[in-house]
Amino acid sequence: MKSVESSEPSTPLVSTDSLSSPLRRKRKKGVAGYAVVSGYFVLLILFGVAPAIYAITLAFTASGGHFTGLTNFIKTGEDFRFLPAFENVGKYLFIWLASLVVIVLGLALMLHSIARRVSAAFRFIFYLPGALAGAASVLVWLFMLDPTVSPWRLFLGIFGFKNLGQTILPGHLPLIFAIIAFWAGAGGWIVVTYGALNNIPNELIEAAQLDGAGAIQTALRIKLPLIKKWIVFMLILAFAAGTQLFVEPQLVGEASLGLISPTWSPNELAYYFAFQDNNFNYAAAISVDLLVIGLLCAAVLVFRTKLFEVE
Amino acid sequence: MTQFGYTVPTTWQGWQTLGEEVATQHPGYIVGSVGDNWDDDIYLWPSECHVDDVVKTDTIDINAADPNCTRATALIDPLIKDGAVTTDSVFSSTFGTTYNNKILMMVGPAWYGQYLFPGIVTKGDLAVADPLSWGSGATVTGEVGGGLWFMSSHVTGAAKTLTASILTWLSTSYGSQGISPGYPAYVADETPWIAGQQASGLYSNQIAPVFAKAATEVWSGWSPVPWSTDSVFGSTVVTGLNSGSTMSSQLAGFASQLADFAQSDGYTVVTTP
Repeated sequence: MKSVESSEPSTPLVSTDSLSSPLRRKRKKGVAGYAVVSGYFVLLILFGVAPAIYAITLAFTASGGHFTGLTNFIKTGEDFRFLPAFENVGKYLFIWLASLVVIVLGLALMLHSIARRVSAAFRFIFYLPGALAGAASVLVWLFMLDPTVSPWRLFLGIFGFKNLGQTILPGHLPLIFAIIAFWAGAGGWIVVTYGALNNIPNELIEAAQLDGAGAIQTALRIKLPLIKKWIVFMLILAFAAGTQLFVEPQLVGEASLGLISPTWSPNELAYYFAFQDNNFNYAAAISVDLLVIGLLCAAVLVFRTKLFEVE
Repeated sequence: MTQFGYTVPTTWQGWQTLGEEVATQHPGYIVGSVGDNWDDDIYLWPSECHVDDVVKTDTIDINAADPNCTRATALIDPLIKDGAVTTDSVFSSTFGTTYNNKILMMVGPAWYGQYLFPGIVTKGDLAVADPLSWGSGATVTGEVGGGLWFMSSHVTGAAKTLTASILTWLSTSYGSQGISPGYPAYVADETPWIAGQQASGLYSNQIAPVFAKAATEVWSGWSPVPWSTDSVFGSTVVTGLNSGSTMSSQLAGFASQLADFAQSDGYTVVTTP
């Protein structure tokens, strides 16, 4: 949205035709926009919307295909693994989102206030861990967490952890997964937030400085309110990804030969129902639960912060 | 064992006494491990602990307070405290280096021989002995691994015959059983499998009489169920041990989660005193 707006003034005024018929120009632009979006749109339908509709259908039916109302939701909700799984992910999300907002914003604001040349190097360093794709980064962490092979064994030893089993005790898991998520994902968000900060007109910051605002005041009163929408956008995506936590508990569970419950997170529970208990309808019900939670939180954030409003 | 002047125990009580002696006389040596999720099969199953006993269709007996369960945990807890039984996983990356030639005894499945011990135990230093008994009653043991082959009811026609033949091959043929480190369930495969193990040079004594006898002593009170008893043992008991708790204090949690799984899969849970 921003880029479209900003490109407006730079439109070369070469053709009198364009001046005389702004409507036609607008339509042409629209077609190009649709063409660009269509690729994404097709994939979204195929791999996003269609599976979601399929999951919703499954969630309201039994294995024979007949309508069962809310039975699948009630049965899965009553399951003894349901609440603990949501509790686990809730704790994880609390740590992950809080650290995401505080540390990512802190680092991005710091980057933005130091010289551009230095910050390019920092941006690269922050982004680096994110270059390791999901499962690979978890594997790296498995080595970090196992005191018998970890380069941080001294540090782990301070906490009294002598083997992997002691490091990954149930109470430690939300924090561990949040650290992994932060390590893998925060760099990308720092770069995005930094980009958002760069969109703030220099005149505004200079004006604030002329009025006597220091670095902290400029950050809190000028920069943060102006990138509020980006922060909300980051929170929505991080929340959605966070509730779907799967790879981390699954891989750590496998690596520890089953010392973590195979249904630690709701997504794992859905997987367990589908492929261990052969109950795709229950699995779909949990997926729909996650979808609804994600949509509700996104809706609250979108409407409360007027995310899609263009001034 | 000879070097330290010990004799191989024949009962669990004897094993514990010897474990205590090892802890005092030769610290660093171990007589067993409880660090893996299948250790319920190694300690609770041979003790005839009723936590996995399908007594009739869809009815399971789960009783953590069963004296057969508590006698096993009460026996092991002091050994864990003394260090004679380790809580390290036998497949942790450093088990081999930590316990290289420090395993005095180990209660475990036959597949430990080819799968775990090479590299930890010097070839020819390993001997096998009969499963431990509880002093009274018939000696029974557990088993780690194995499973059932299923054919889907959707398989029909010619595919049914082909599926049946591959299942027969997988479960009985020495062609498939002979390459596994696990003890063959099919009796006719036992002799060649044992001969192959003996020829590997890992064992210093004759394993045939020991293995063949133990294979007939697996207690039938642990049933195949749709959930993983081992996985529950891992996430309750082993996790508890890692946080400094005892096996005895984790039994109730273990059983209650097994009951949850059973009920969720449609079983009626009974508790036979």
